[in-house]
Amino acid sequence: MAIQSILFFGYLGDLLGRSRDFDVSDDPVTVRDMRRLLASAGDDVAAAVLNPCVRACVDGMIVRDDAPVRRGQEIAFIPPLSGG
Amino acid sequence: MGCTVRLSPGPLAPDAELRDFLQIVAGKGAIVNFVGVARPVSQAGLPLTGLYLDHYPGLTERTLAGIAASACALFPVEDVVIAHRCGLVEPEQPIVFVGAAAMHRRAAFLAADYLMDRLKTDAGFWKREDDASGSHWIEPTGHDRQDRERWSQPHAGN
Repeated sequence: MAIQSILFFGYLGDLLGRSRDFDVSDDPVTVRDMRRLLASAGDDVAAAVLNPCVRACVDGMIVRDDAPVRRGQEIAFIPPLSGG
Repeated sequence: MGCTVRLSPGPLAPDAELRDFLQIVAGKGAIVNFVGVARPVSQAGLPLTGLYLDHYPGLTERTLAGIAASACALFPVEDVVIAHRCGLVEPEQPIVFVGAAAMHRRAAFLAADYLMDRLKTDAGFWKREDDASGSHWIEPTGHDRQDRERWSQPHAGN
């Protein structure tokens, strides 16, 4: 069991907290695995992280679902950008 | 040639931005600048009490830098600056200052137009309008997306 902090932005930050710790039992290999593991934390989290409009970031870069993730990397989920 | 990007949680002073830009671009023949200001009315038509620009430090700056670099690659401009607010902006306060300098005016106008169309859809912000009915996260309008698409067409902007 390991604790993974996840960052949320925009409306997701309001819903789930700006930064939230999750127990992640398995070692996720890809962003897709991470979404699946986080989704077990509750319906509200599942609705956010399984939403295909919600993109994942690893170490501050927007990545695809097949991107690799390793322990210690910064993981964030972001809604569609609003623009400036 | 230079691309400058600044993101600030504090007030934006367009007059000071323009003064600084004019110094940097001394010798260029054409300088265009644009100032975007928080509208006093929300999308719901109510008086706006505040506009909050949430950002992801690092990612947001990279989106701004990418947009500035694209403008420099697409148009014969010498210098480009984007100064953008983040955090809580009061109604009628400046949100963004954009400057483009070129040897000739057409490129400067096009680059400034392009920068704003890209910023309105692709800048890494999440905007929340606060009005009497509550707080509402907003996304780019259809109009914003149409403006953005203009630059995907052949002979973009002409």
